[in-house]
Amino acid sequence: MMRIITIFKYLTAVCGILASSSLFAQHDETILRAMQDELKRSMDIRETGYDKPFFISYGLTDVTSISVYASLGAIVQSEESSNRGKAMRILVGDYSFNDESLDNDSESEMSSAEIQLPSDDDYAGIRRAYWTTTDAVYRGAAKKFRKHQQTLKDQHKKIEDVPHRTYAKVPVVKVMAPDERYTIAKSDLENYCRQISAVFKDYPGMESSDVVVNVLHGRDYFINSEGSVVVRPYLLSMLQCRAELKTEHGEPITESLVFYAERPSDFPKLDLMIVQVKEMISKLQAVVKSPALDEEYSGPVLFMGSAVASAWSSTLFSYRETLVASNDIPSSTDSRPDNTSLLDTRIGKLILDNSITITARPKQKKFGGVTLLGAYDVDEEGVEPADELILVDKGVLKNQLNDRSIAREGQRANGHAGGPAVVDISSSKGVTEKALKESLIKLAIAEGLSYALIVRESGDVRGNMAEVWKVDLATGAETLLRPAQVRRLSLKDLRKVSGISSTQQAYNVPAGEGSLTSIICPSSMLLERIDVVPLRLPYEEKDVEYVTSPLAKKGK
Amino acid sequence: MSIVADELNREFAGLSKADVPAYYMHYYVNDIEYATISASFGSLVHSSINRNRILSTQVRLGNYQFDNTHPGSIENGEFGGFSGGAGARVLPLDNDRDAIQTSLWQAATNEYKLALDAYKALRDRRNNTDSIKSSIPDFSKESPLEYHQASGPSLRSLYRKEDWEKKIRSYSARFLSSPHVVSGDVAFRFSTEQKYFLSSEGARIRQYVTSCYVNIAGTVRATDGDLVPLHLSYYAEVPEKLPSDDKVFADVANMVKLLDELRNAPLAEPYSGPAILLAPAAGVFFHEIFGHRIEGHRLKNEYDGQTFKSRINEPVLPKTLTVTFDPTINVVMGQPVNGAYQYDDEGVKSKKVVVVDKGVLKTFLMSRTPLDEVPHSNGHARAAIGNSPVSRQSNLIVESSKAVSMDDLRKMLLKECRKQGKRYGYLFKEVVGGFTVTDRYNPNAFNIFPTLVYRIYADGRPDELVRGVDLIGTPLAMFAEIQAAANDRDVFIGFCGAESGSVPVSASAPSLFVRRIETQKKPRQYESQLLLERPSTSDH
Repeated sequence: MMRIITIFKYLTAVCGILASSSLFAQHDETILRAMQDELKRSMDIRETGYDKPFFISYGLTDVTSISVYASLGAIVQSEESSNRGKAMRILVGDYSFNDESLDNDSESEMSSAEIQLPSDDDYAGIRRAYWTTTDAVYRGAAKKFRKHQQTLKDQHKKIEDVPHRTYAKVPVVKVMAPDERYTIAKSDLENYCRQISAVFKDYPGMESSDVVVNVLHGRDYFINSEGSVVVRPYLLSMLQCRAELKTEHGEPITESLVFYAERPSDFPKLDLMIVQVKEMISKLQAVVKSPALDEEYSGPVLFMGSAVASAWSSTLFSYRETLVASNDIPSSTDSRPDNTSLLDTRIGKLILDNSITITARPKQKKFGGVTLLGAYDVDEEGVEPADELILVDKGVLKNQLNDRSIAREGQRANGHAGGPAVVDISSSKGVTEKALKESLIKLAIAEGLSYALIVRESGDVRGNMAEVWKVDLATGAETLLRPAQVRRLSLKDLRKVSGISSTQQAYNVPAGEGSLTSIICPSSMLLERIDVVPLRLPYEEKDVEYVTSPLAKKGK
Repeated sequence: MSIVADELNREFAGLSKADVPAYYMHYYVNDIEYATISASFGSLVHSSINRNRILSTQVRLGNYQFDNTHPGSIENGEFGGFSGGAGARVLPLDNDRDAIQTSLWQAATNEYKLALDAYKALRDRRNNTDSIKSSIPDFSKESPLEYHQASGPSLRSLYRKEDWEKKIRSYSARFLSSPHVVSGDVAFRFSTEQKYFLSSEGARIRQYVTSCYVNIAGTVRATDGDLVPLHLSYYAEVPEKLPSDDKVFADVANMVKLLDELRNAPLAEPYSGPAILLAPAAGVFFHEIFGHRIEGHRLKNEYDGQTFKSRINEPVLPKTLTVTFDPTINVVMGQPVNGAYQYDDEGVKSKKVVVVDKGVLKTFLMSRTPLDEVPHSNGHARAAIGNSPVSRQSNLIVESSKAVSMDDLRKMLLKECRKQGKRYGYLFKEVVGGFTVTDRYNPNAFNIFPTLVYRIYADGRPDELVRGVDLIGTPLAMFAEIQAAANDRDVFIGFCGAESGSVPVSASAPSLFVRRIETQKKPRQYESQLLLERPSTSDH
């Protein structure tokens, strides 16, 4: 019975000076001892009137969060806080038939007597926090298992006779990452944000602008009753510089620069960042003056750069067509929408262009100069994934990503409870980008179109706005358009890839709940029939300036 | 303050020359730094210090008589009127002139646009219908004031984080003494605040305020699984003025003792009959049933019940009772109170207001939203940071000219029980809060949440602690039932939530004997007995 109490999965980051000492080792020792002692006591529970648990796992996330927000050279907010969250799973029955076997409701009832985790290494306090939650989760699991037993009895069936979910047995893992902690100088981050945001003072026409840094650092603890112990660092940083301008019709246009890194020290150096921000502003100024796409476009589109990564991540991990295996089972008692992935039943079938191979490489930490921030060595259930897992081979679906819940034939626990991690998309038919652009023009001419489109940046990174370029079919000249919306892609759009580049690139893309997926993919991809529509932005009357901007006196 | 003043002058110079000119604007900046600590059963669960600068901006178009805030008319299906307002925004913490000025400029521009839309709509409606013909101005004229309070000590100089973490942790550890207590939480909050109010009329007010609260909450699981909570709270301007550790430890020990007693206390059935409200409960009782009905701005709205709107100079309470709201005092009966302020949130000097004198209604609590009966503010415009102010309560003081001893109050109760044929009356000793409804589309009722309630038996047996009781009623019926007040007094410290957010208030009253109250069952919160014992408090 899974019950997430609080889990901190922010886009985190860490910078600063590495510190390591026996004091920190003491942290790990106290936290683990408290978790293990309480878990052992809970496994030994007797005389409750219910079946005993056969499996318990405890998780603890200890995170320090720093958030700095600056605008026009001044800090607007700067906060630092520490939080601890706990996660818990308790199973009653056995691996083949337990409280999770017969329905899709994985939530436990909340306890009214919930006790929070202490913010310091208070052995007794940590035990108390797990105690009350364990009680509520165990009670719920035990009752549900009893209900499942009764259901089978009423139907005169065995568990093998009905669709059901099992819990996979996996090897015990012991991972104790070196106990290294970081001291973050918040004042350094403030100065960094202050100076970058001050660039915007020279641009009084900006509707708004800001610079935000979020840093999370800490440690994750996981133990289970099988003997697995995983302790590892938690590091993630995000930098975002954002500016907004309005067109002459009052349509707001936003441009952002977003960087992910483990540590803020991996962000671009200040002088380089200032140059990039100025380039972003120039681009934004150009965008608001650029022509808009004045019709709905349907035809070939060349995706380039981050737009390729976004296209793949949004397609391969969408709600209904995800490479992540569904844990749902057919259940007459579940009134919620069917959460089953369409791919669950398509193993061994062609789902993509036959040049495409997709491999999960969850442990790969780098690609070229890019740190792959989605990578992990052990997943959230303490399962070690293989170095490589072929998901799609020459367009044929071979495997899905799975956790320890096994809901159908062929599934196995492959260490992906933490999600896709790192996904490598490659093609056996790669060509140069020059060749791809030539193909784009040819396809557009063959379609009888008067122009073609290139999408260079994705909507995901830029809110809902894609960076779209119009290609002159006669000269190949490119003209920047105002942002437009690319209709959401589906696997069907990728069944035929009209061209793909031979070079690869890597991006870290948001994967929901603050986590990242690292996508290694071709740097360009040509798709034949894509719809691009003008973005319907809120239309406002041209602003009347009753009082001039205070920055006007010094603006460019 | 100089940056805000310069930008205010620049903005108003521009906006007052617009096609539809602004006739008034203000900037209100709350620069607040606050420390929070919380602990549970002896464990520290949170400790942080944060700072924010929040800007609230108001721009008014039209004139004092008719502006963009004019109340809506029921005839036109308008319920709340147009208050305008783009909401609060955060201001830079650095004193960077460009950054702050730009933020102020953006706020004024947005506020003006919203006010303009509202004003145009109201003006068109006024010109095209007969419905909006009120002669009452929308905004009262008040003399602009200047007040420059020196900046006080910083938060960090008034509070040692480590010391208070230790204290708060130790207070909460006392709950471990009972195996039946299921939650034992202590929360500490201390804030220092610089408030800057500047208006186009010339108001220039700078105030420095501090406040410190310790809230203690314990819950016990009764033998039938019902969760029963008790609460304690302390208030002082600064941490060092909070009660001593010995006092807090004793209070928590008493709370634990009461929680253990509540485990076996019987659940009460709905009841109607005589009762005594001890002083803190009586304070909340007055706050809910009376205080919310003399907040002036609401009496201007057609959808409000307007219980007392036309009752000035008429008796509304027993003639022995006088009701005052006094935000100018920091202490009542030697106890610090949290409803004090020097200038309200519209820049008006706070005033002591006698609302009821010897039972006769004299006035209302007023902001700059005037009434026919009361055309000027009496310094009771209040709001939570970032909200638009309306008239709100401050330090409520109820006094009786004919007080009796508690023994006599008890005798009156017993006599009334016998008269009504009741086996017992109720004693409401402590309450945690309450709410009331004042509009005319719902029953004008109140609900008060008692935590410590006793039955006083007419046959002389010992008082009996009960649980599961809420005190309910309707205000006018209840006023008529107040029979006597005792010669004691106590203070309730709390926060009041209404249209303008949560504001600190106190209520001080004598204990009251009420001839007939009504109770209903409190909603139950159930928790099963835990299967495992609480783990050891030691490290092994």
